[in-house]
Amino acid sequence: MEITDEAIRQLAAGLAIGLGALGPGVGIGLLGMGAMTAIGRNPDAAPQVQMNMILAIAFTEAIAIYALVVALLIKFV
Amino acid sequence: MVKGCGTLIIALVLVGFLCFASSGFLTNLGVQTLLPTPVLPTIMLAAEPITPTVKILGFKTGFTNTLLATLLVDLVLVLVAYFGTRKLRAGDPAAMIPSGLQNFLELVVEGIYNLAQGILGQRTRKVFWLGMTIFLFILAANWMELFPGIDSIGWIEHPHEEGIDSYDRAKLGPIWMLQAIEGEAKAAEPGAEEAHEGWVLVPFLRAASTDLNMPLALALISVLMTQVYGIQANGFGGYLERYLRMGRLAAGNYIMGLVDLFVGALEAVAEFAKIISFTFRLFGNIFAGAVLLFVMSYLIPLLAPGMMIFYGLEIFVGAIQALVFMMLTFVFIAVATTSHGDHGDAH
Repeated sequence: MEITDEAIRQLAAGLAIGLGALGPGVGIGLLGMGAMTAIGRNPDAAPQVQMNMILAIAFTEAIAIYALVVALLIKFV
Repeated sequence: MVKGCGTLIIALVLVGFLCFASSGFLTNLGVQTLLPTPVLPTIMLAAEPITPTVKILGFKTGFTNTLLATLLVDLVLVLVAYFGTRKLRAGDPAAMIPSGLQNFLELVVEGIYNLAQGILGQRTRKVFWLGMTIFLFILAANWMELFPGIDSIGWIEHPHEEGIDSYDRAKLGPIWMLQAIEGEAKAAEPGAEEAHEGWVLVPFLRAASTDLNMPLALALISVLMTQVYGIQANGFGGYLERYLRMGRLAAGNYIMGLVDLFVGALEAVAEFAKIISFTFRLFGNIFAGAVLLFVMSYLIPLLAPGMMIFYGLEIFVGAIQALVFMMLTFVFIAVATTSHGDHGDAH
């Protein structure tokens, strides 16, 4: 297989989202763990914990979305 | 009731299975079937115009398919609101005991109102309209992506740009449809005029959130209204103090004063970061979701029931993104409207 500009673009797009998803993946996992622990200790606070968890996940996930946007830019623009 | 639902779902799954089984898998086995092999929809980042384009200020523009989808979302929301509140507006005493659509709407609005009250407290009444409108609009715009016919019915045209996969077309009854070219789909080669021979589909409707402009507009509205409520609550001076803290610098404490200035500048930058993250969060999630559905239905048409997983995922993501957009708007407004405690003590 030949290494062309197009091949490098494909590789770059794949790497951009692949590496960019690593951090937020770990982050969301930690958030979920924290929330589950909190709910396990105090089940009455579950709705509040869930709401805050979703908000925090949205912030974390935004970072993965930046990586996705970069990947899309590399691929399409 | 539950039993009936189960039968309905099984029937739907079976019908879907038969439809899709007849397309990809059997053709690969050499069996002639009713439907041609599935075609991967053209994945376009920008929305495509569905009317003849005009040039305004050097930009080629036209009535785009996402704009049409936005208008359709507006229409759906207005109709739901109209029919949902008809009894209420007529002063019908029967409206005191809500039923049907009105009941459902009251459930949704009350649920969100209680949620907002947890964040905003006494200010909820004043701010609620903004978040609720954003929520309903984004929800409708996101879920629109999931209806059959969206993204798959439109003009069949020659590709306008280079490097786009194009397909053959075939006539099925009175309508044209795209058909995979024997072998691989042919990408239009740069510069070659005859490579534009193939056909691509320009859908009439495309989910509004997959156009960067719609999330950007909502983000601008949300952040702008945050500033407006901030000024209303703290006055213009109090509002400026958030970004330009001169208190300690004027008092002669130069080191902490400079730190305050820096923190204020960071706050100002954060306002612009909000716009960017609002925009790309919504756009990225929904665009990626649309691409996921395209690619999966192209790759595994035989496993149509398996597609239900991704379909369910997209229903979930669409709702969560609408909720998150609204919640963040409320949270930012709540932050902007609380006055600074430490400054309040100093004065």
